Amino acid sequence: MGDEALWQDTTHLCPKPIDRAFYHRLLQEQDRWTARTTTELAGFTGLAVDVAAGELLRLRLREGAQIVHMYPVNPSDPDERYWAQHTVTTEGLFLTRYGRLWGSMARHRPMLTILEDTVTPPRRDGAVPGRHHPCFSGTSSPAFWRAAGGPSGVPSGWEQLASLVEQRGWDPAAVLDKDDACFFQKGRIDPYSQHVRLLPSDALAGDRVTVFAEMDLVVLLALSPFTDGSSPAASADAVRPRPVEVAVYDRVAEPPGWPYPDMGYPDLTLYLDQRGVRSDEPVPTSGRE
Amino acid sequence: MGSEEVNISVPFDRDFYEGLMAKRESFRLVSREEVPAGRGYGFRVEAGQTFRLVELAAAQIIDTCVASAEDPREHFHSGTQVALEGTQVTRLTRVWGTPPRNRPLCTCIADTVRPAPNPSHAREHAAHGAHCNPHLWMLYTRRHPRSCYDNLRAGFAQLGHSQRAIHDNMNLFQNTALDPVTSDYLLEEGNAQAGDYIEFYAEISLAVVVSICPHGTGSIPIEDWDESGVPVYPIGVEIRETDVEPLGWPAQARKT
Repeated sequence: MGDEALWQDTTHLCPKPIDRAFYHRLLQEQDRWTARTTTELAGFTGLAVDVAAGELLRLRLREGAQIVHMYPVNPSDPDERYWAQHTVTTEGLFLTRYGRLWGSMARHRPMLTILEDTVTPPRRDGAVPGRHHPCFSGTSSPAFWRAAGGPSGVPSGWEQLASLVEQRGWDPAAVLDKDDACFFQKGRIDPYSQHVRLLPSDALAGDRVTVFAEMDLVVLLALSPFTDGSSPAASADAVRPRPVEVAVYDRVAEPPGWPYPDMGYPDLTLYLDQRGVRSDEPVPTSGRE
Repeated sequence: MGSEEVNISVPFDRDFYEGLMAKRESFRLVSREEVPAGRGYGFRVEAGQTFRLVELAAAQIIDTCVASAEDPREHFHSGTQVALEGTQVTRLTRVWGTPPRNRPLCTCIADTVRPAPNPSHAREHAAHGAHCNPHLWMLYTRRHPRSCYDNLRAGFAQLGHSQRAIHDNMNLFQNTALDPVTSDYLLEEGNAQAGDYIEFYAEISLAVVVSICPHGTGSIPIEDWDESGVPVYPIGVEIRETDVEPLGWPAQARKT
């Protein structure tokens, strides 16, 4: 399995090794981080942000809690995209510091690693239990938005992301078929029904999440029309996004790469064609028919 | 800042499905196939038919992809599923497809598994979690058996589709829960017995691909996959004609 020190003591279903010391060092060097670009996302338009390997992306709430849907994609091969349904088996449903967002087959490697997460649930009696940043929740889907009474004039999170995908000349049905991570969203797992309940976020103005890019990415972002998750929207007038500052920081380090040395790793030629993308031939995996 | 949960419900014509289930004895068997242990299998189900997945020998996880037969880019969407129906599938759970259509693809009309009481509230049929793949097997065991990804690829190839049609699937007969405190994905030994089945009514014509998971019933810890020789079992796939036309989406007036 490789360096045993990289295996964390975890109860996750599918644990994977992580060099936490590497990310801890990056955090210790915050005073050397330099913002390359800063943009304000303040509407239901979505925003595509190019982030190179080793750079940082920071989301900072300007006025208060605002759910942000995040969907990283490999810009040179959009078939490689965020894989929420495998992230949950490796990280649990709720993400926080040192959680990683994993990419899809065939490479299935880390795309982003969370360095900072300042959101802290309030410590008070009667506080609603729950956690933030589900690696997926489905709240961006048009069906959920409409079911919540969301007005048709306000785009769901998915529709905003789809617009960004179309602007790149990609097919939303192919690229956006998986789920997005929902930063600053609070949720609670009902232990009996196993439903994931949407709760009002505890995030405050100034709260931030910072992620480290493990590879070159375009990170698609959309503000949720559910805003802070406190209630379904009854009318378009009632839906007002809260602005989020989106900053990209200059490269802080060479990513550790994946797989780590001496780690078991499959033969990718079973899945990739000569161009290095997933084969589109309708054939079984060679040797495993 | 309030503390209220957002509760959302989607219209559901329960009477239609209760009427459908009341007719089940009149459903006509169209086909019955046995899928050998450790394999994948793809098949088509027409709108208005049902497909039933049967545990033939013992509890066995079945990774199940469901897509539109006309356009496999429209397929099961785990996010919408979890948001609207929760993390588990059972009778009267609808199975939702991807945006932009974002419509029900099929509806579960039978689930015979009886979960044993357990402190984690785990239950069969997870609506999230994707499929095992060569990365997991190589990481934990340094060998690459026929993983669910490979089985699903083989099943889609039977239907003329490539590995790109593989999508996040349901983990049927997988006994799981999300821990409400840690949010970890918990996996318990399956409760299904030989003869147990789950059955879905197709709301549209479907391409369905199943994989008999090499993880068996989920009882072997992942770190022990290598030595255990995880037992896996065959399953049955049965298709039935109901002669009941689907409601369509958005739901139309009842037609039965």
